[in-house]
Amino acid sequence: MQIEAIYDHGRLELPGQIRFAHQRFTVRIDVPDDIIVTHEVSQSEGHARTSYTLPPEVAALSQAMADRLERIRNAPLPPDEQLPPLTQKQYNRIEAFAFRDEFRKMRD
Amino acid sequence: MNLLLDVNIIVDVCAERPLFGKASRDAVNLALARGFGVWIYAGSVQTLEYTLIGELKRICADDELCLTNRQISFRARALLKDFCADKNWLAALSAEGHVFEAQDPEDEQLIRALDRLTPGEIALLTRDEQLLNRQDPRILSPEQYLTRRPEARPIDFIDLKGQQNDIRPALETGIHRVLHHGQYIMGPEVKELEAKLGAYVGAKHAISCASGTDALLMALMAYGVGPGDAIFTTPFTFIATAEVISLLGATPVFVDIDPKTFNIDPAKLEQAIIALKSNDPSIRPLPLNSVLSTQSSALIPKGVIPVDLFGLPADYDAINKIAKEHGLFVIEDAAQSFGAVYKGKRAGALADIACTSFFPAKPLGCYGDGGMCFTDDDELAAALDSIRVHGKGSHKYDNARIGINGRLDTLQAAILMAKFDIFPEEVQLRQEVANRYTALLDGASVRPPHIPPDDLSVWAQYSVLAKDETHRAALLKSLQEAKIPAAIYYPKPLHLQTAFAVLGYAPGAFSVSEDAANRIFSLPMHPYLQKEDQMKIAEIMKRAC
Repeated sequence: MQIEAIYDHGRLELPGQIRFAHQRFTVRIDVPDDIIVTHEVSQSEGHARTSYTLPPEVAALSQAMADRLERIRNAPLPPDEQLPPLTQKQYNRIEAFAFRDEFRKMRD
Repeated sequence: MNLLLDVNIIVDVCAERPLFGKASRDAVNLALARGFGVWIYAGSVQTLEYTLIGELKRICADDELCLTNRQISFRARALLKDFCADKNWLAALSAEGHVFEAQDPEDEQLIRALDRLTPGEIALLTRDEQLLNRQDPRILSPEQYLTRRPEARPIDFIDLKGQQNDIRPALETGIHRVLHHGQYIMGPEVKELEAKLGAYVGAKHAISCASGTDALLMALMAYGVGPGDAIFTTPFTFIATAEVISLLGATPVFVDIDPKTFNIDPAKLEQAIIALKSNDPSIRPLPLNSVLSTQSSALIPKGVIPVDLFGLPADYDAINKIAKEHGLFVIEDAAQSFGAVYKGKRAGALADIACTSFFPAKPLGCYGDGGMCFTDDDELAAALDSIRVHGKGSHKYDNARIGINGRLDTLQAAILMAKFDIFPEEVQLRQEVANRYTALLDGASVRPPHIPPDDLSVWAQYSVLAKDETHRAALLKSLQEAKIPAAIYYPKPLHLQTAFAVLGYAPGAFSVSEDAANRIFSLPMHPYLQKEDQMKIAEIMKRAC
């Protein structure tokens, strides 16, 4: 469905009465040409915007994978206390990979 | 083209990253749908898990969701478990460990992994700009992969790669185990394999050796075959069967085949034995040294080597009965038939000694040469065990007889063990592929293989008969034009080979074999052959009629 939304300093404000099944999903928006000052597309985004056509059976396969993973992403999670504790080593890794990502961002 | 996935692609798909998730997912599915392998570097597991955890944490923060580290970790693992379920793991090798001088050690590992894979067959799929900017044709973005010209997956005559991918974990574990224990000759895997295969066949003894040819040679040596002995066998087979007879100075006496099964014809075998005993070539063609022999130099009939051609056992009830009546031993050449069944008994247990081959293209093949003898006879087993190790006696340096260097490598035994785990399932798949061929070729102008009602071929080959040599050439040309591999087994019977000219057999001596050699050819055959590929092959065959 098409709805009207308001762009306000980087956030989209949607009509309050709509409830969504998921917290995160892709939307398409129409931006009036006359309000765009500059439009810089990064190389990565450039790759992502390349158009291609998939055979229907491949598209169906890809959609099936998307649906399956989405179900996992949205499946109810066990309460924290019912999950095995994370070890100190695992916490260290989480920190290390966060540092790695920061390092890579600085490098790029 | 097969794909090796960089971590960012997997995280794109699992987290459905806006802008990137769809293209990455489409590229992965395009490869899978076209039958190509999608690989994940095993050395990336930790990076994969914690990068996805980081991405899921970011999403939670954006969505103002309050999940604990444990819950995010739980979700990340569930996503990765699902995504990785139908992908192949590419082992990290020691050569990919010393990467600390590289600007990005993780990227360096992937590049080194690519270096050991066949160029043109696999690409690294990534969104990493540093990798893509290398301008290496082996590195593609999802968009580059998705916009490539579609490539057809080739049809293999025998698909050893598909099988290898299925058993790679067991295969690599087995090989590494041997590399680490270091018992390369007669290591524990050899004994274990012998026990497993002996039990499968239903034979009391299984003696592994270096090749199918060595298995036949050892079997003849165990019977003490030598100059002056005559061994009856088929001329419509690979040369190894008759070669070992001549190697020992004995004489191969060829017997024509049954036109339906292509295996030795028992009725003609009996006639050939009588012909040799009475030295009368008018009954059945005999080798020149028999015809020219005097009473004192006459050939002595010693044994028979039937060949289970293309995986179908010969008619052992009839052959064993004839052999027993004439006091001959029977050696089953089961090089192509390991896994087949004859009247409820497995190939490998149908004669006094059976010999099989583990040549890579065989139904159970290793990654080199290998073979095995099977017997229920304790004395023959002891002789075979001795012959394969230079005729050893009570110990290695006590030589009781002349033997050969015929041991199976431990590495090959480890490979065979991994392959044997899925062998029964593969035998079943081969039946399904063969049955599909027979149904699809209904109406084509070729004769499909004939399998007697009580037997089960293991389908080492699916061989059909064309109407004549010209018809076969036309069919083979059509297949070749469609890039479908085919082969002729065997284009020239043994009695017409230069190597056996000394036997003096003339063209026409074995007319059924000669006719088959002019008309037969084999189609792609392996357990993983797809129905669509078989339909394409059958269509070409029917159109070319």
